Amino acid sequence: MATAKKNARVKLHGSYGIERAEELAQQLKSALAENDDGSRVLLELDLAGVTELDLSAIQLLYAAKKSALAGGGDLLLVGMLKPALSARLRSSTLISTHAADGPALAEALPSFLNTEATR
Amino acid sequence: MIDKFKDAFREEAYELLSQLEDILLELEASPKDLELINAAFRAIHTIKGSAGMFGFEKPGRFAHDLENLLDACRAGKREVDKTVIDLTLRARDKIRAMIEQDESEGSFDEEAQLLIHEFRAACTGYCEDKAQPQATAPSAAAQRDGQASPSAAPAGAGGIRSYRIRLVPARDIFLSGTRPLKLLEELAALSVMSAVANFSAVPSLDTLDPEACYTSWDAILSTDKGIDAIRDVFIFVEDQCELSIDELGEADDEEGHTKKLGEILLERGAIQKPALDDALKSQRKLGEVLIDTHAVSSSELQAALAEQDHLKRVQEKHVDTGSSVRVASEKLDQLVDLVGEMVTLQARLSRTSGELADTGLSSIAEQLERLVSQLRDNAMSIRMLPIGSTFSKFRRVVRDLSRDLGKQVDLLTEGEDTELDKTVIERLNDPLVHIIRNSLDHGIEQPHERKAKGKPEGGTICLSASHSGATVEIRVSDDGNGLNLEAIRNKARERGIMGPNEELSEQDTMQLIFRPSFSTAQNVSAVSGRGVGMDVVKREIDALGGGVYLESKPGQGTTVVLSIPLTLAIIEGLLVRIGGERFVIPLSCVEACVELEEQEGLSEDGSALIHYRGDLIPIVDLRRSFAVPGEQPALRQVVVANDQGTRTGYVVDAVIGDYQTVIKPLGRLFKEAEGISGATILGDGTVALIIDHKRVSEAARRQKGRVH
Amino acid sequence: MTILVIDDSAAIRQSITYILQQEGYTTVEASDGLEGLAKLDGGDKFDCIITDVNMPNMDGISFIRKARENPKFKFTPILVLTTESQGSKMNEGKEAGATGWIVKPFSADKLLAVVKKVAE
Repeated sequence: MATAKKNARVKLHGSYGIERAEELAQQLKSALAENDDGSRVLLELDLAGVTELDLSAIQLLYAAKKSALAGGGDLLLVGMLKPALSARLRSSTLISTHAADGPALAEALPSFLNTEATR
Repeated sequence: MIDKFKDAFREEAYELLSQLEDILLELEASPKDLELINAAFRAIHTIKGSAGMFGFEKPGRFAHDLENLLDACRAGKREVDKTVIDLTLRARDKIRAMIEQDESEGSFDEEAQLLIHEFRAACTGYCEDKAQPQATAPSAAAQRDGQASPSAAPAGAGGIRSYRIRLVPARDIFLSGTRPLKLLEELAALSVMSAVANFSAVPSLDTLDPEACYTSWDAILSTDKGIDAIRDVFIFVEDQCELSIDELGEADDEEGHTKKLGEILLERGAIQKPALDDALKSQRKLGEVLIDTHAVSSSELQAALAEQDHLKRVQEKHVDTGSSVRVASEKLDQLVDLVGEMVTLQARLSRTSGELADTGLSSIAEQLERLVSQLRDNAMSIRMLPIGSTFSKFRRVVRDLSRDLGKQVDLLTEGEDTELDKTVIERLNDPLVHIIRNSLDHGIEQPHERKAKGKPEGGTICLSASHSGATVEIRVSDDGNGLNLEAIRNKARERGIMGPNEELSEQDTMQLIFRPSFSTAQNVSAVSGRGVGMDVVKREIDALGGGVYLESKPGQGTTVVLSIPLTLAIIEGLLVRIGGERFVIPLSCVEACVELEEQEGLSEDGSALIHYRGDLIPIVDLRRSFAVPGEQPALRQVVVANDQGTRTGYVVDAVIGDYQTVIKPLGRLFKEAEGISGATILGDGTVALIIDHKRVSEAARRQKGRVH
Repeated sequence: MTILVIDDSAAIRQSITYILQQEGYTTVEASDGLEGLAKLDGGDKFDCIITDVNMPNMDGISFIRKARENPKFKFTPILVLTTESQGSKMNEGKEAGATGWIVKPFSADKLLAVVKKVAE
């Protein structure tokens, strides 16, 4: 059983609305499928360059977390969020804290940290 | 609607009417030509549709029955015969006359009434009764949209009601251009709302359709705007989602009774009575039991907890306005001081009782500890005030100043409800004024510059406050030009603060503006730019035990972040030991404690880097920093502290544990003592120093910068 | 924000355009569905589309169906202009892929409120 972990870091840039959902899904899939040697993927998703995340994108974060866990890896959110983005997420009540960075967002998203692996 | 378009409408109507005349004459010759019938219908329909918008409400109403008749013909329900053509021609003339004579409203004359009567007669038996347009409207909400709704009456005079809303959008909701988050945003804007999004239906990546919606919401909303205002939010999506809106029973605010979790779960239909009763028999917390036994899902539980919390909050607000007492603030200060002393004494008692190993005494000490902790929270909460009152003062500042500077600036505020210790709020006023002035003067550009950059001419300053752990974070963001790092570096070199070849990181460079007499403004204006201001801010915030940070994006704006401790007098700390000395590290910044691998590359001066969660962080050997004498143990601990994303590790001999402590300021003699923010008296009467984490970590980073 | 306004009535089109421009929106006009489709192909990006239903050459419903087939406008908010008597048009519009509707006659405030509701 391979236990090696391989870090992968993906930087997201710009506005992720529903128009880019398909693109983001592909990006996440390929980032999680990178290791052929069986090592687990520890995917760090850098949100510092993101100006907007709509519902479709947030759903994809959950889906990617589930897939990563199912593969024995994990998905972490990192990077400082743009104030406008965290304000937007707050005004749509997706998060209630003033999450300022990726880990804080992961904590603030409902049950994101308790996401369980599904296949 | 708008008078200037009245003539345009009139001309258009004349043209349509003359087209209609031609069409009708042609139609007389070939009454089965569907194309022609459609054209006739369209002409009347267009006139009817726009008439009302340009002040011709009367011809619009008149055209309504004619439209029905033509619609029946169009649908093949009625033949186009001489009666239809004749009637339509006469009606056409009448409409034209009405428009010519500017008949905008009032009752129909005899001729018009006769015509309407005839349309209806000609329609009888052929058309569906469209005389009541609402009959075919798709939904109740759409009806209200059309006309003033009788049910829109407010729900009681100023009565705030709470509603439970459940929203499950259809999977394909995105495909109609709908953005579910916007609905939530709109709903939240109605008033106080707590919403819990449920993502449990989101599948894993390989089975997910990225363009489908898997999220649902449970929300509780308290508003005085009535249920119709809520329904209106969903007017376009009623058929595209499962939506339920239930009014909650009158909040039972006698004796401040709040609903129990079980009650709420029952009401929500998340659990049946027998299952609930079973769970209640257990001695543990209801929520835990229910999750463990899979009686309810965690999302259902979260939604119910959110509801409970929301109702409590709304109720507290309600009670707040009911009765209050004015008390001199010195009395409160005294109370807090006394409570502070009590906390210290309590810690001593706990410690002593622990040493004596007397079970009777220990149990008393434990009970007392709970009471004291409640008393402390209570006393502190009395001194807490919402920061909103300070925010509103800044509106005036922004208004006056932007006028003086010839700029257009809007002030947005957020989180006015955030509560802070009264004394802290008072001391925040000046620093905030400085920061806002700076943003206005240096940050936000002149309207023409903004326009040239493609920004809106008016700038925005956003002032927000929020809780973040044991601190309150106040952010002042502007959408101006951002900090010019190069200019700051040049200035620093000019002043000799920075060596000619020295490089500083972005954050360190930005921190330079907090130095005394440091201003890069090209012109000194009356408002700011004299180099007084930001250093005052820094000093004041430091004195409050807080921190100032900057975020800046060239061309996009600057954010000043103030991180302020909730209260001044008491902190939660982590007690650590080095040799015979004890120190307190504020718990709010402690992230983890790890063991120090044997002498993991400690250099001469005790500084080093260690690996932590894939990060390289500098560590500081406190034994060296504070010159603690004595033999260093083989096994030591590193306390990892996190300050706005920057981590620093502190090497200590041992971690003793959590410690709630009253801060005693150090005397003037120690004013220059770097790295110490205060002292505290421990349970055994000895003194422990409180580590000024921000200063020490800054120093560590500076040192690290030099090493490299 | 750029909004495409499609209506065969110049008076309506111009008044909508006027209201929107007062609020700082950019507008593009088209007088029927066909012209509207031509604007979509013209390379402009529209943040919102407002279309009448009854129009010569191509009606609003057909326009919406066609617009939704264009990947660029698959998720763009589309508002249908309709009159009260045409309740069924609201449903037809929604089935074709419209986001919402504006009932004629409408005030400037109402128009702006609906645009803000679905777009931005």
